[in-house]
Amino acid sequence: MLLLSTTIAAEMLDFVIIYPVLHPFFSSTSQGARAEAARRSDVNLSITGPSTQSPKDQITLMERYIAQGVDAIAIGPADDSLRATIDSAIEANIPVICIDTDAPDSKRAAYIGTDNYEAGFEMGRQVARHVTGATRIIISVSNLRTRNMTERVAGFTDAVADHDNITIVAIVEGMATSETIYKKIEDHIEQQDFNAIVTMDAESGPMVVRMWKAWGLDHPVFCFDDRRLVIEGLNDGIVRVAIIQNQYAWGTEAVKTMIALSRGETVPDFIDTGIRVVTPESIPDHLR
Amino acid sequence: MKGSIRLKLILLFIAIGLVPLVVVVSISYLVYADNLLSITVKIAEYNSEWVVENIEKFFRNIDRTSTIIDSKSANSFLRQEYDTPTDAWNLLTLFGLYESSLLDATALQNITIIGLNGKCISSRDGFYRLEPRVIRTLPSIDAILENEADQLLDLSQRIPEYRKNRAVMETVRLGKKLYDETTLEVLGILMLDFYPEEIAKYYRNVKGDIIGRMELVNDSRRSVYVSLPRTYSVSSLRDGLTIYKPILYDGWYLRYRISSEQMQEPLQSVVTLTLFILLVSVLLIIAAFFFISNQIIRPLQILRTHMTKAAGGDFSTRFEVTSDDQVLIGLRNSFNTMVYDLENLMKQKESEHANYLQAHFQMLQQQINPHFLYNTLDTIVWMTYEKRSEEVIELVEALSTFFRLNLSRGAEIVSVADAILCLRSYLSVQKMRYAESLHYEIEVADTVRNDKLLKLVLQPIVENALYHGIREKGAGTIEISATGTEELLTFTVRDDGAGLTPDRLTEIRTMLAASDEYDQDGGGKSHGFGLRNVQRRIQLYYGSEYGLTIESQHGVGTVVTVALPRVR
Repeated sequence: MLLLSTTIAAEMLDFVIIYPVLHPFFSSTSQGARAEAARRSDVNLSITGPSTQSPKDQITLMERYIAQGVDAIAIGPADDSLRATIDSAIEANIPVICIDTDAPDSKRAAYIGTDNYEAGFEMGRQVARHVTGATRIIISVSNLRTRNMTERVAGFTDAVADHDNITIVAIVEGMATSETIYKKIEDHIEQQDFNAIVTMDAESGPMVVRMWKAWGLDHPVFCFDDRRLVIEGLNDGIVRVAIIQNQYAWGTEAVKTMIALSRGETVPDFIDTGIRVVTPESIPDHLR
Repeated sequence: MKGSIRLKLILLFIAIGLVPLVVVVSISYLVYADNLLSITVKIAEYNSEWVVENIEKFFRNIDRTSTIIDSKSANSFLRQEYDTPTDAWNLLTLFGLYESSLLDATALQNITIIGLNGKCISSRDGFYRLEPRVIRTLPSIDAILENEADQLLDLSQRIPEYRKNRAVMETVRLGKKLYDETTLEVLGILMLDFYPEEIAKYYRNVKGDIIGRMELVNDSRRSVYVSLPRTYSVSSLRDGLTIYKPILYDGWYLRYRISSEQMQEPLQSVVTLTLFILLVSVLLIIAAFFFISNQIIRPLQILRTHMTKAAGGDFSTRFEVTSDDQVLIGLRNSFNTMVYDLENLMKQKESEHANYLQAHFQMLQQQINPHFLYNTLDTIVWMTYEKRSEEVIELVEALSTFFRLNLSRGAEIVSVADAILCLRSYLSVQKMRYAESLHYEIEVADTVRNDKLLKLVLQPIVENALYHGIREKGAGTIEISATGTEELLTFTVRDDGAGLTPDRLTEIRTMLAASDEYDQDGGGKSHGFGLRNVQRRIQLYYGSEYGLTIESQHGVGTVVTVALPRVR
């Protein structure tokens, strides 16, 4: 018995975190995960993801780790095509959890992150509060196949449905790529078919802030996430509201949950890491 | 008197202690003040140079921002009258790059380009337009355009012109012309806003303690700083120190001012320390004085009171010393020995005097021995009844001679001849009484006949031989001789009477040896009493090495020898 437990303790736990895309937004998630892993001597943590948003590349990466026989996987699935791969990992006795965005139809053990429908709904409420008169909104997302985006858009749409003055003109898929975002939003600026914008993903927020400055626009801007330019935009009066996610906690909770799963413990189906609504008047000190 | 001596001593001690100290401290103070001045100047000079170097580095960095004009986007932005959002985008990206890499991101508040075509862009406010006609009339733009030198210009006073007036009150704004590289046409101006606190870091980070106040001042504030000397000026510690160091950009100076109070601060601590040391020294000297005074003067005072007691006749007084000082211990020993000896001497003197008085009284008693007189007068009476007038005459003559010589007008000293004559008279009177039972012979050496001796020395011895020797036995002979050596006069009284038992002889010898004991008894009943009285008088007068010795054999007789010094 003693010998057995010693053997288990000496065995390294191989965990892997796979982001939907390698984006600076996730750096604080990595910080949280590495800090949590560093507290344990028996955790061997790998963090990876495709360099551009690509479900195919994500599947390839995940299959490689399943073949390696890691002890647990945390993944932010880029779209539903990841479902089969997740299930195959479960069949290979490798527990899988979702972070940032969920795959509820798969056999994943848990989802850690924002309640994205709620976050989108909150964004809708904030926009309704801050705009007056006929407001034509364009929404910028990374893509409409990623679940967190569709949930936020759904929440947002439901929240503004009651407000007759608010119409959603377009939903722009920037694919988390600056050139695409620039091109697509520039089109809308030229068409002048909107007078407010909501960014749902981490990449389009900063792009919009800088573009607004370059064009000298003063249409209200509403953003997700705490990128530096978004905070600057709050300071400079361009961004009216930012909804900030607790992505640091995604990392710490992911590692904790993977440890629990590798021990065969049961874990909660959903760990809500919460959001924070920030206005120019309430910028947290650490972001100034 | 005592107090004033102490006071003088204390003052002297303090003077001796403090004068060298004051001299040394004064010299040190002057030297230190001199050094302090030059060191302060050197440090201030070094510090301000160091700060100026850093600020210049900072300004050079800022200056580099003006190369922004070399970018195609800036050129196109400033040349095209219509909106060029892509140029604006590129410029904002460039500003972002400058803010995060080229300059200290926290120091830079905003970067603004104002084109003479009316197009403006800033990192904080983005793109906006001003009327080109209005731009030309803005004083800050005018100041830059009028500035011949291609350098950064301080525009801090003109911040309210700023479009959105976002800049905080204390902003430092620098401006510079932007040229087209090729045509050298002025296309616009570049303005940079800084948090002055961030610039101040360059002089707050000076290593070590920095005293005084550093400020960045500018020519444009001439109304405040009337004249700006190019070099530093120092007068003295009293006047403080002000250093102006020019900075290479647009008449900026580092003004470094150290007030006289700040410069003299280290001196103040020296003065405080000195006063403290002086105070401590005075206290130490006073403490030392009282310590020494306790060690020496107090015992002397005690000695004086003992001396006074002793002088008053109280020799029982003793002097105690608590110190282990050898001089004091010696003094104590000498004093105590002295009073001890004095006390003994006084006791001895007192007892000698008492002895003398008693001996003298007994001698007087001896002089007019009443028993002898009664007996002799009785003899004279019955001789007269028997009509033995010849004998009566002889007896009365002898008695008369005896008393004449014996009394001898009160003199203590008589000649041997007179003493023998007196003895003869006495013996002849006794011979009348004892007739044939008493025989005597007197032999005197001629050499001693004129010697002097204490009177009534021989008669008690002879009387003793008669009463206790001859009379006890019934009859006998007394032989008396006087001889002299170089130093001694010796009398021998020998009788062939009853003699003494050995016990009695020992008793008498003991009594004679204890001659200086005062005899309370005082009577003449005892056998040896007459002898002892003689012995005492001799020893009182001549010293204890002289006196009587006695030899006796029971039934055979007794010899008493008297040894006296020869006095001629």
